Amino acid sequence: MKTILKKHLLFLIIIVVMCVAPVFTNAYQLRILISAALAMIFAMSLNLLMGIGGTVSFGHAAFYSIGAYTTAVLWYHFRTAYSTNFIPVLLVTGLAGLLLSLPMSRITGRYVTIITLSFAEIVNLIIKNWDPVTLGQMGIVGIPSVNLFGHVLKSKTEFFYLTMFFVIMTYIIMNWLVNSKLGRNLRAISNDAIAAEAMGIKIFPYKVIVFTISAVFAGIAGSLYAHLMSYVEPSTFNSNLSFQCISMVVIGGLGNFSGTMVGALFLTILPEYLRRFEFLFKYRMIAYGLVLVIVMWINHSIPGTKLKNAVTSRFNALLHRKNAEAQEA
Amino acid sequence: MAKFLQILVNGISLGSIYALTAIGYSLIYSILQLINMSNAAVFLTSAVIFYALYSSITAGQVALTFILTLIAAGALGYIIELVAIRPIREKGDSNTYALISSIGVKTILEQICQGTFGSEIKPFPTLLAGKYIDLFGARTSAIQIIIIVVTLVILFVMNWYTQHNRVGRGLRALSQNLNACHLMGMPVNTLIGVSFAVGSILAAVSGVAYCMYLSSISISVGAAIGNKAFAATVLGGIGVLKGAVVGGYILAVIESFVAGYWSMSAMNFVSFSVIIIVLIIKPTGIFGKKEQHKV
Repeated sequence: MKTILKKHLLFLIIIVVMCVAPVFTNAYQLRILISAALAMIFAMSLNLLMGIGGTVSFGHAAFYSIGAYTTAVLWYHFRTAYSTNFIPVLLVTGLAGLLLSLPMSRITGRYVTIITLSFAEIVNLIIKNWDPVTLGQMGIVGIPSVNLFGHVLKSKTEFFYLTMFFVIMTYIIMNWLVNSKLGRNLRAISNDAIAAEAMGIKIFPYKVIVFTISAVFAGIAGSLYAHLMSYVEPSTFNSNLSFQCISMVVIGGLGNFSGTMVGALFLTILPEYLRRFEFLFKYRMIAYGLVLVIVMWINHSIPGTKLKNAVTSRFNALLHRKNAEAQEA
Repeated sequence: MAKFLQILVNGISLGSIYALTAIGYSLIYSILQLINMSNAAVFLTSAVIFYALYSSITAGQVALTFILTLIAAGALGYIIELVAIRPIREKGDSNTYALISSIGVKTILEQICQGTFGSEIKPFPTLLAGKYIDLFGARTSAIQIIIIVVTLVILFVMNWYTQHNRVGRGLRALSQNLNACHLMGMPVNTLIGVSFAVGSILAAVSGVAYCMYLSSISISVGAAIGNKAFAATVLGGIGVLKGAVVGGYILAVIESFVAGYWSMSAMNFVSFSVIIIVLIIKPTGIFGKKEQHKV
């Protein structure tokens, strides 16, 4: 019990702080917090793919946009509620993930990156040009707030707690997956694909599964985004969104889900915070890039996430050596 | 026939621009196995530098402005390597971290450009404006011919440089075995810096050429060409210079024909689909060598 608590301490702290925060924030700050919560789900889904699955994806925004557009298109054409759209969102994004994973039966390494990038571009172009369904460049405007089985979430606070519910669920499911047989095999594959194959792990089915699950969670975040913003347009989901997501994952530490949450929170709040300085306003996104470079310089992750692991592993190695010496003596 | 030729010339001149940028990606990948995402931002930055210099200090003198831009781009490439890539490389960390760092540099450069330049479209100085050459019935603008010729010259110089020049041979040695070069006492760090400088200069040539071709400049040119050039690199086989050039030309010619005979909006769709299909058929790109993994 104690070890479980220790392992998830950072997660619990973030959740408690986030859940208490709406008491103190104004409407604008609450909106940023919701964006941060969405970014957390989105980034955690990428972390499953990158940190555990070992695939660097440049096109994760594709799944986010598919999730957002599925719910928006269904609302626009059929006026269906969020809770009715939920299952179709899962199915469509899952199917997209499955589709993207199919070329992975032959393609490995850096070439995966360009496949994901091309996939994202193609998805974006389809959204831009499929006018009868997605309304093209105009975007879909006036999407109402979330409607859960007839209960409309009128206030943003309620919306916030709904997203927090999804954040917690995502974290729990991700951790369960990582520690299950699936997660162990995935880590084995990303550490050494040939050795894993020699031990009888079939690589391709695992790639399909990890892409599908990852896509589904990104889709959930995307569908919430559509309801938060109340409009969707294709240019929002460009490759910069994918790069931002990668940054959140890497800053938090690959394969570390609570770290990813810190990364998402930090990178969402920082540019908004810099808005208040008049002279920095035009250049506020530079800070984003600077943070990336500096963090990569120092320790590839925000202190308290990866740094702690490094220290403990070094300590364990020392302990191990002491034990070995003692045994020899 | 005239339309066919016209489209072909358009494709080749666009392909020259892709090819020059693609060499930058490929060169650095062949040495460090790093996808240098800052290359697209250098493309944009050098076009902005050219515009800024041309409209202030060296007003009217295209050649002088061009040379100054190339010097600035080369310095920029070296500095990027020095500041953002070298510290990570020397720690012996995974390439993923260097990749993230280059994305950081890309963001910084793009934002500086956006902040100083603004987000509107501005006219860009071009050479021999309004002059057309009749090529077997195809009406080609003079700047297209200039771009194609300059690119061919650069490609021949690059080829000579990597085959016969001392530094160029050093770069090829680096791409074969980095550790062995270290052991042989080669100035590895300087050479890697040089490779970034060369990549940036080529990106600068192509950035200025592309804006001259459009005779306008906006903040979105980097993103438009950057991803395409990267895709072209992979199409030809990343890490092989010949592949980057061929990939760039193939992609651009396909794009021009789709745009000419079908529709503009299908252009990007087809080009990215072609990349996926080619990689499914031949996963290492057209000229790529299969990466050997030691067990």
